[in-house]
Amino acid sequence: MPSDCQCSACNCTTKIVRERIGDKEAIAMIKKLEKEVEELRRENEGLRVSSSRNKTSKRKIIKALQNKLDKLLHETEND
Amino acid sequence: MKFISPWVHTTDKCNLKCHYCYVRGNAVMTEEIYTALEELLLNAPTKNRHLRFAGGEPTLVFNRWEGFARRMLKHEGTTVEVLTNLISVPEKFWEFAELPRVNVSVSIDNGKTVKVLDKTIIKKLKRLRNPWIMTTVTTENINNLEVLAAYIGENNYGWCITTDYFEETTLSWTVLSEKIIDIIEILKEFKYDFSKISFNNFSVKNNFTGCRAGNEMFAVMPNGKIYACQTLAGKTAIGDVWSGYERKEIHQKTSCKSCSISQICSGWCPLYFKTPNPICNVIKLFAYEIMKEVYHAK
Repeated sequence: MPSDCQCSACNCTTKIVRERIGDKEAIAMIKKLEKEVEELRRENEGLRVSSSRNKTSKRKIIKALQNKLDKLLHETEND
Repeated sequence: MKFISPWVHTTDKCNLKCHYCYVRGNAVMTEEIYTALEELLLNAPTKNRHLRFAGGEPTLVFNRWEGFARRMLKHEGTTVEVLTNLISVPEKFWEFAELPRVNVSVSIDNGKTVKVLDKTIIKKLKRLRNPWIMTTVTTENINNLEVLAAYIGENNYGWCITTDYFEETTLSWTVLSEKIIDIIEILKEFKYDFSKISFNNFSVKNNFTGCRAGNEMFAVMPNGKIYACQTLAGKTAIGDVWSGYERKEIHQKTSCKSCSISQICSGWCPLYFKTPNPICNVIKLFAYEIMKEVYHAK
């Protein structure tokens, strides 16, 4: 079984311990993160390539994946 | 105490030999331990009991813990989660999995050899109501995650992605980041609900608290000893099922205090993940991408 960290892997709703941030705080946090992420991308070519690939050929990748997945699901249904 | 959540380590036995697993041995929890644990839980100062049945592979010993789980479910406020690989599930388990307040989390890595997403597992997943998928990212499965992402996206399953606790199989932060960005892009195509995904315990889910090991969460081993975390079994116990355990508050890592996401990041594993850590970059990239989706701040 391990090493998934199953401590938090559930879909139950009994674990409310503390309040989370509100929408305003979240948006401020996103803006702050945006700068840090840009810096990480500037420093790392692989990340730049990854994000531009996602923008330019995302559809193509998804189509290939969807085909793979359809094949798998088709096999499952016909089994 | 708002909830109590034991990791019930039903057995060390498993039908897989995952390269990153730390569990060894053949121990199986006995009825005596389940009975004592039942009393401990019913006397706890909360009615919100979230029992996590794990191992090893808990379905191998389903007959040993089914009775205890069903008794506990009769008490209001009890929920059960079974953490399984679904490889060889006894027929009776499916009926149990349909009970209200029972959830099943399934380990699928889709590696070359480990926990593969194949037609057998897909068939079994279809029999479950809203399963949660757990994936450990290692060198073995890093190149197969896109298909798994598409499958999860299509079904809108909850997804808990982690690197391994001990960082023995963890990839570089740059390789991981590229993969995480790819995965998120795929999920977007399926209009995925990003409040259902976590990476190394970072999630925007409202009830997400990160690790509470040694506090509301603890691990009960087959011999009845209680440890703060299942990975500490055999080390220093914090109690046992007969006399209870001493709770210990885990404080946020001091090195996390200046981090831009400290308010909502749990700092991953409090035991093994030392911060600052290059993997924190991956968590930030992940946080940025999913927060944009959830809070619609594009």
